[in-house]
Amino acid sequence: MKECEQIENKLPLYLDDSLSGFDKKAVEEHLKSCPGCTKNLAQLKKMHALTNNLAEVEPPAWFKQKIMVSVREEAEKKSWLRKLFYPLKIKIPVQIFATICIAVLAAYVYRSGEDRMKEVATSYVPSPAIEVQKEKLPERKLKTSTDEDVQKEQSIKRQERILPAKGMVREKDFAAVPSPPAADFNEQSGGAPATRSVMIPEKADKVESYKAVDSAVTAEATDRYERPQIAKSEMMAENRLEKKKETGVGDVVMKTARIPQVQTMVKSSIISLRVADRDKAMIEIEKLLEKYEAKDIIRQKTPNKTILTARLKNQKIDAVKDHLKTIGRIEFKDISTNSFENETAIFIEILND
Amino acid sequence: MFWVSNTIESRKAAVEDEDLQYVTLCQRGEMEAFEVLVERHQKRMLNIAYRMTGDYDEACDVTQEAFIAAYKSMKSFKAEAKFSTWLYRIVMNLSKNRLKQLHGRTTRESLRLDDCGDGRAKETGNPSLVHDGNPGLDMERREREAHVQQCVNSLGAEYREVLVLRDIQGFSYEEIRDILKVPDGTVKSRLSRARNALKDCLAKIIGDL
Repeated sequence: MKECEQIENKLPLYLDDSLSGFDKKAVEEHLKSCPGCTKNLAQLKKMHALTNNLAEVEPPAWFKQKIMVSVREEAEKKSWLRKLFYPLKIKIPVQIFATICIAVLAAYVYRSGEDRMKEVATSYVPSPAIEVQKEKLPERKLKTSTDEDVQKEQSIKRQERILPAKGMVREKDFAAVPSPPAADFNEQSGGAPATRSVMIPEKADKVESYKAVDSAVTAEATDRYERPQIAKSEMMAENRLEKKKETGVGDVVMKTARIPQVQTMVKSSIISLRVADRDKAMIEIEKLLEKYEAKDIIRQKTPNKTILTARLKNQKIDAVKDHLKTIGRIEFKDISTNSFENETAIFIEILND
Repeated sequence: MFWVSNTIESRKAAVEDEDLQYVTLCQRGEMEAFEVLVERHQKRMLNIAYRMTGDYDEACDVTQEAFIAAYKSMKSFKAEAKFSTWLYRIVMNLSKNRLKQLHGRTTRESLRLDDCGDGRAKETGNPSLVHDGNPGLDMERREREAHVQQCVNSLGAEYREVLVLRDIQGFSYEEIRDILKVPDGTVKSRLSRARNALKDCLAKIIGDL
């Protein structure tokens, strides 16, 4: 039985004579004495005959054409891909060259775009700057011209509040000339506060026109305008300053256009001059100041005193002081004020002896 | 039993050398050369695919795919083996892949090795079978062939492929070894088991063989 199992595994190969000589002999010997295995072999032969004689299937009509159509389609795809990627020996350098070209072109486009951006930037950015300049120019102009005065005012008033920049600009715009030092000399000398500021209003309608712009400043100006005690002195100052409007404003503008002067805080002097006749002394001092080429001479009269302010060259201050000693009895009070490169503001307070 | 070998040998086409010539032309891009190869091998390819899949339409698809795959890989053919062997390996592999797909896709009503006798005959459409003129004989033969195919379908792929190649298509052991790339001993042992299984299956379906 065990032998039959072994023979059964060899019988299929015995069919087509695929067994080795030894196995073949063993199978043949076994088949002589085993009807079961003989029957199996007969069945295997029939089965083999069946499989060997299975009818072949024929390809469908146009099968070859159908295959060739598919193959051609594939070939077209392949050739398209080949154009892109094959043969590598040729295409890779071409692709590298193309890549380099694209990179160079991209860099060129980027740079040219950058230049254009710069052009745009230069054409666009400065325009608001010009506008700003246009807007700021008068402000700066006035500011420059007024800086010294404002600084004077600040230095004289010391603790007095500082007007807002806008207000200052408008104030100067309004005055159209550098304002005289807003000094409260009474405060300094202990007198009654008569003048807080020397801002000079021109006309009421002008004041009105600025109301909308800066009501605070305008109000302040109007308030001052209405003060009877300073009206006269202001009118006098106005006469002087109107002259300056023609020359001084232009001068101021020119100054603004120039390189701004370097300001430094220095000790300056308030000169209190006690005289018998204030008016006479005032005329003398004005002549003296003009003689020593003083600038921005402003006269301010109050019932108690007359104030003259001016800008003098540093080297001429001592000479002026010496001359003043001949006019009356003088006292010096040091204050901090702005000194420009070679000019110093002086304040002469003329009091009755 | 020697007639089997003779049959197999006789089935060897005498076109092997000519194949190489056309393969070379085809590798140079001549489509007509490939058309000649298609013409030569389409029927054998289709029959291998048909016996492997058991379905005529599937076999047509597989054959077409095999030719396309062969064309795409034509450059890689180094003539180390016969072109036909290479071609049949392609169609055999594609057939096995298709079998896996079909097995996963549909619940087959195929017979297993252990229950082939319980299965009912399944007619597989093979309209292009070559038949005799006698309708009665044709019917009997078609039925018998259907039974054989049914039993072939019941075999596992590794047994089916050796049986198809050896007993149905008549390839030599060397050719089978080259096509399947398995050793001779493996081919023989698989073939032995496949034949016994097929005999048992047919005996159960048909009765006395």
